[in-house]
Amino acid sequence: MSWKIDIEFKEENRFKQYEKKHHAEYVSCMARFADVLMRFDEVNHPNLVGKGYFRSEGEDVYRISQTRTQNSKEVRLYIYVCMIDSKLYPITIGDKTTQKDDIVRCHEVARQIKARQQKGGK
Amino acid sequence: MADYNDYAAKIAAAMGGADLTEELIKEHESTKIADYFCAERIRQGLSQREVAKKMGVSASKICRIEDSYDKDLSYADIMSYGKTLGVRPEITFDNLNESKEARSEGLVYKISDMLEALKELIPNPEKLQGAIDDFSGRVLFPVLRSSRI
Repeated sequence: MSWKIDIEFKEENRFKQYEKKHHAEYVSCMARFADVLMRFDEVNHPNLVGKGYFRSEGEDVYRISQTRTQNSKEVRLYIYVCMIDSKLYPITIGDKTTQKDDIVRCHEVARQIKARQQKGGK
Repeated sequence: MADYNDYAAKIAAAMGGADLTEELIKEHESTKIADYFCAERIRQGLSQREVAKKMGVSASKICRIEDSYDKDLSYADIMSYGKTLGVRPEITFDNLNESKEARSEGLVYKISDMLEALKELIPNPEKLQGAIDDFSGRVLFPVLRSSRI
């Protein structure tokens, strides 16, 4: 089973902001995203990924944290995992200070995707 | 078999362009030890909590080890975690200050030791003995002889 990345709901501005202003942390999250994608192709289920930096935030939204480093902003990438179409939807990227709002927005996106799928969309 | 580099390219293509691929690969290379321990722990079906209990440390310590860059890991943590998983980390030194002859001699002995270790592990070592002796005669001994001239 080959999992795909779907960037339809990606918050482009937020990613650009972090890529520019917190580049090292951004790269760390993306490197781990690649690792997570590889694990999904191996195990096919989020519960089996087994990485400490990959944690559920509810409603099939998961957080991928950057590698631990001193004085970092604790940046994390949020993705929605869709078991129906085997897709990972990167949604937003943030840090500890924006965590609460980021998760709320990600849950809204997750509900949007689920509602669309229930109506018979992609 | 899946190669991380292919996945790095996929993420780079989806998220930010091909330029990102090299950065992701370099980043991945900087956590090889931590990633190895995490993968081996998963392969053995152990949770972080179970490894922590075996090591006599907190679960958060295991989480920290697996979440670190290799350069931030202590020698003690590497040896302890390895021992807990039944993995023996090895450190080798290649002294660049030594002459080529001395370094060649060192490598010959290392290869010889590794071949001996291999004989202990393979099911029918007698079958390969001739090939190993042949290799030693053709490659290792001449290198050793020339390094001592």
